[in-house]
Amino acid sequence: MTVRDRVASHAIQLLVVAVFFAAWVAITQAHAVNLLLLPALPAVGASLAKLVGTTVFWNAVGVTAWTTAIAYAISVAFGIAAGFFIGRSRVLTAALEPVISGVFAIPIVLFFPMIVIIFGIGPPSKIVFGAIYGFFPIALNTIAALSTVDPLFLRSARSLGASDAQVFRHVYLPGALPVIVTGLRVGFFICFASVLGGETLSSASGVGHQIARQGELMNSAPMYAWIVIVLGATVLLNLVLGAMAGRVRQA
Amino acid sequence: MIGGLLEATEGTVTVEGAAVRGPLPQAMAFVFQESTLLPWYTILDNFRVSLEFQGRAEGWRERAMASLRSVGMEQFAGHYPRQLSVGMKQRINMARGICMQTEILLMDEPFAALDEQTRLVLGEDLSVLLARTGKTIVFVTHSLAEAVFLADRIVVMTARPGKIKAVLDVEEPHPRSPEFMLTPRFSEIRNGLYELLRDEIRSTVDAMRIARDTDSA
Repeated sequence: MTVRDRVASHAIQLLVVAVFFAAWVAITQAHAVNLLLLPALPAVGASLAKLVGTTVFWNAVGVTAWTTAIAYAISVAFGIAAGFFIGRSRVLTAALEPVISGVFAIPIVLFFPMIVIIFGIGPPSKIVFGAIYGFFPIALNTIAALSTVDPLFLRSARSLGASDAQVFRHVYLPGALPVIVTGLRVGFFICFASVLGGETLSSASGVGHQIARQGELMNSAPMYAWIVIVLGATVLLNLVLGAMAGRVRQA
Repeated sequence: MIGGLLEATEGTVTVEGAAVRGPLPQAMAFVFQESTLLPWYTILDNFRVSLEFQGRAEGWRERAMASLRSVGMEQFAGHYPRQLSVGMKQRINMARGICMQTEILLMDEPFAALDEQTRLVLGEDLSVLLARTGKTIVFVTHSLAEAVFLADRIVVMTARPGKIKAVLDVEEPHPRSPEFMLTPRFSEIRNGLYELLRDEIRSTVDAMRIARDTDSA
């Protein structure tokens, strides 16, 4: 893509954001929607400014960040390990890849009440829930990634006397990395959304809990302020992870 | 089978008296038809990793540079494979095979993907290397001219199932110059090879035709 194309695509992205906020302002000023459902943008901005300086804000952000970090670390460790274990064998891939895809298609949220019964309403139930959801895209992408490694490289490495560990370190891992990174990125956002969803459904702390609480109290401006925080964090994380994935693919 | 990558269903392959039951990286190096340079490493790192695989990484840099120099590619040591042409990559694969310092080099149609001019130049390079290193090279080719130009001994194979049909010696010292290809002796051996292979080529074509007709029936 040329520099001109890149500038044009960023301009279109900014335009979409501007149209979104302009529509928000226009709808609220025209009183087209009840302010309880969609508060005025300045009111949300004021709530946001007030919120950022409070300990409630930092506590909630801290809980969600830690919960997501631990859940993601677990899903990465298990997802990559399972992906490598299965993906290296054609028989295991044929047997287990459809099973993992099938389980991923099941709405795992149905089991969330059971997870809460077992692990309680604190962060551990959200860690388990997020880790389970994050596991699937990471494992599936790792399995798919291994099939993209050219068998000729594996044959060549074997002919040179490479051990299993050397084949993993020098052939499988770098060869599969671009596709694995895509899985890591998708897995992160699914994990993050699951943690937030879990906090919204049943929790005593975290950003999701604050959104649900403000909703129940019908404090729509603070509720939207929390949502804007989540959206901002998501956009920022997407940019960071996208840039990292781009660098890996170019390497 | 010679390289230990496939198991023999019948008979044995022996190297220095021992049966081959798997890859022998200390005794045999490979040059495949397609480049096996790992695209995520530079050329020099490809040599390092290959020598680590083989378990002979001591002095890898000097040995790698010497091998690259022997095929005139030392200035590309820091390049990635994607920055090189097919011919350059195959030249480097050849250098890596030499760098392994094995007695035997297995070359499976290494020049098949190259254009005619590059094949000729690499063939000359290989002949020089043969003269310099005295390695045993098992070279698989479908090119009659390449076989006559490079080989000391040509083993002609039959169509499937592949069996040895004839063994011809080419008594011409290495390094061989391109002028060798203009000699009556070269033409005589090449024509002899073609005579030996003509029936095999016909039976292969017939077998392919029968298989196609059976599939479409």
